[in-house]
Parts: sequence; structure tokens; C-alpha cells
Amino acid sequence: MLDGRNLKALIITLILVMTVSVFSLADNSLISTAVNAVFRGLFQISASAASAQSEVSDLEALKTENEELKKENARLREQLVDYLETKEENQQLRGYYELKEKNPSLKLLPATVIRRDPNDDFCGFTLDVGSADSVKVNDSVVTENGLVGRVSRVDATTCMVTTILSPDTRVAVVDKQSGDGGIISGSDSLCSRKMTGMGKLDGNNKIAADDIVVTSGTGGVYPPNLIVGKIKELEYNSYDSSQTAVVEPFDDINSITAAAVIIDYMKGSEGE
Amino acid sequence: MKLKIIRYAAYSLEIILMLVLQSTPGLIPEVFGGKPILLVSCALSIAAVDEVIPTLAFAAVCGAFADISAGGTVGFFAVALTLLCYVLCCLMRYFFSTGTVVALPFCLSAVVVILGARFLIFALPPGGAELFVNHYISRIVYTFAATVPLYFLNRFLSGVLR
Repeated sequence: MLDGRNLKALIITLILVMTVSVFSLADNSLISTAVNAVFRGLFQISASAASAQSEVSDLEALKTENEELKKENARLREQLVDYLETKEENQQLRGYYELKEKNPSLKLLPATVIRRDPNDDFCGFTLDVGSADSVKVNDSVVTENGLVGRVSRVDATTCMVTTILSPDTRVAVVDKQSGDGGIISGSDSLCSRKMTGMGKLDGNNKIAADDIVVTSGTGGVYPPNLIVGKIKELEYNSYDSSQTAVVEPFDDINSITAAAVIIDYMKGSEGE
Repeated sequence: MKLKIIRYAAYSLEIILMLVLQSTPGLIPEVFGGKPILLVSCALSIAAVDEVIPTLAFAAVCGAFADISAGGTVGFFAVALTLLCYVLCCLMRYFFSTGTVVALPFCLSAVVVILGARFLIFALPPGGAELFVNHYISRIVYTFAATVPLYFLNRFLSGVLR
């Protein structure tokens, strides 16, 4: 087992691996850029093929979802009446406080999910855009239904996304209805239910189920007013009596096949 | 020599295929919260049937690809798989036999060691023991299940192209 030739080969291999490891440490490293660039086409083809296959088998699920959406549509029409009244009042207030209605400064870069690593326990994925497309670490990643995560690692042609279901993610958010602030951070138990948690809540909060949670913009990492999800329920931690609001994202993050990276926005501007 | 080159080319294609299969979203279903790490299965199955020096090379490559797929930095899988495959290959060649009865339990042990180490180093601090129960046990079983057919495939290739 430890004869000279084999041992030499082992030592040489380990030295080579360590050397490659050193060169792959930084973002945009040559090693990961080269591998991802070479296999990018292959990953895109396989991701497209897998996506097309799942679309066919999802037909029954789509029919069920259609019925549910019709019911939600009716409920949303009622909310629309309230919204229009609030909007009118808000427009008057804006005249006083000079608030901007939309945030036109968001610069979005559409991308496709090409890879999901089996080692990632929190639904992280890889997109087919990278630093060559102006993507940077900590750029927010969104779908049409809201925030799904942030860029955690980038090379020239791809970037890895850590989702809002991960405990490594911290997002400053606010409950749109009650105004209570908190921090979004995931856990394994919540992730298995496809949810995330809103912690650091004030003891006197007025958070209720179905409240919409959006980014607050504090900290400067995430643009303000990006939808994160809706409150599902409030949980109590039996050890320290703290509360955590369980937040359900509007997208099934484990199933998304496309997203957009916010590559630029005007920090400090107000959004809708 | 020619057959050796063809065998190594077959291993290389197998590695690329495993990389694509394990990374393609939605292709391999999740079972009890885990998915197989096919590159680990591939490296161990090659170690169980081939010689030491090619084993080292392919294990290092599989490990590097697994690391790049997981986080971009070559490190844990590259080093761990290289060492583990070296030990597995040497044990089977010099101390035991290269038969299936010996190979598969060794492969299972190797999968447990490498994924257990990965859990202890990377997943225990943030996720806790809950993560091991919810994800790692199924991942270990699933990865070993993938190792079995790969072992037989590589044993066939090793027997025919020698």
C-alpha cells in the first residue's frame, strides 16, 4: 500500500490538487471559469431538456392550479377596490412627502437556471450569467413573483445563488400591512416545507397571516420593496419565547427554471 | 496500450456524464431529502476496479468537478476522494480481493466516510443534526445505490478493455 511508486503518485496528486485549490479560491478563478465555460453549453441543453419533460407531466397540476388561481382572482378583485382607495390617498401624501411611485433604477438581467448541486440543502442553483454580464457577488436574484436569493459566487460565465431558504441568507424585511420589521433567514426545518423564517421581531408586533413581506432596503444589499413572500403563521421558540414568522415565498424556489439578477439599482431611492 | 487509452476515455466520458446528470435541475428525483453525488460514486467504482495511478487521477478529477459544482473552490472533495480512493484501491489490490463481495461494502464505507466528513465540516455548524437526518442519510444511501451499477459497468470496461 505504501510502496514507493504508488506513494509518490499519491503525493504528486495531492500537491497538484492543493495547487489547483489555491488557484480556485477567489471569485472569477481561472479553474472554475474554465470548467463552467466549457460545460455551460452542455448544462444549458440538459436543463432545457429536463424543463421540457417536466412541462408535459405538469399538465394535470396546471389544471388544478388554474382552478385555484380563479378563486384567488376573485379574492384579489375585492382587495383591488381597497387598493384603489389607498392608492388615491397615497398619491396625495406623496405630494407632501415627494415619494417616488416606482423604482425605475432597477437594472435586471434575465438568466436561466442551468445547474442545481445535490450537495446544496437549501435549493441553491447556478445561473448562466456571470461577471462578463456585470453580475457581482451579493446582487439580488428575483423572479416575477419576488426575491429568491442573492449571488454568492460568480465567475465569468455563471453565478451561484444562495436562496432565501438558506440560514446563510439575511434579508432585512418589513411587513407591508403592519409595518413591523424583521430579518429573513432560513432553516432546514422550514426549507423542507419550502418556507423561510422572519426573525428578530418586536415583541409588540402586529404581524398576521397573509401579510405581504417585502425588503426594507436597509443594509444596502437588497433593493427596497422587493416582494419576499407572505406570512403563513407565527411560531414561538420555546427556549427564549421569541417569535418567528413563517414566510412562504410566492415561487416554489426548488422548481424555478428562470430568474433575473438585479445588476444595478439606485441606492437610497424609494420604491413602490 | 490502445485498450488502456480507450478505457480511460470511457472513464472520462462517464465522469462528464455523471457531472451533467447530477447537476441537471429536476432530472434525478429527490428521495427523502437527498440526491446522489454521482461523481463520488464514479470515483469509488473506478477505484474498486482499476490500478492505483489511474485511480488517483480520476479521483482527483471527480473531486475537483464535485467541488466546482458545489461551490467553485476545489478543496474538500478533491482531497478527500483522492485519499479515500487511494486507500480503497490499495486495500482491495494488496490486502483483499477485487471481487464484488469485498468491493461493495468498501464502497459503502467510503461513501459514509466522505459524506459524514462533509457533514461534520460544512453542514453541522449551520444546520445541526437535523440536517443529517433530513438529508445526509438519504444522500449516503442514494450515492451508494448509484455506485453499484457504476461498479459493474466499470468492472465490465476494465475486464474487456485490458
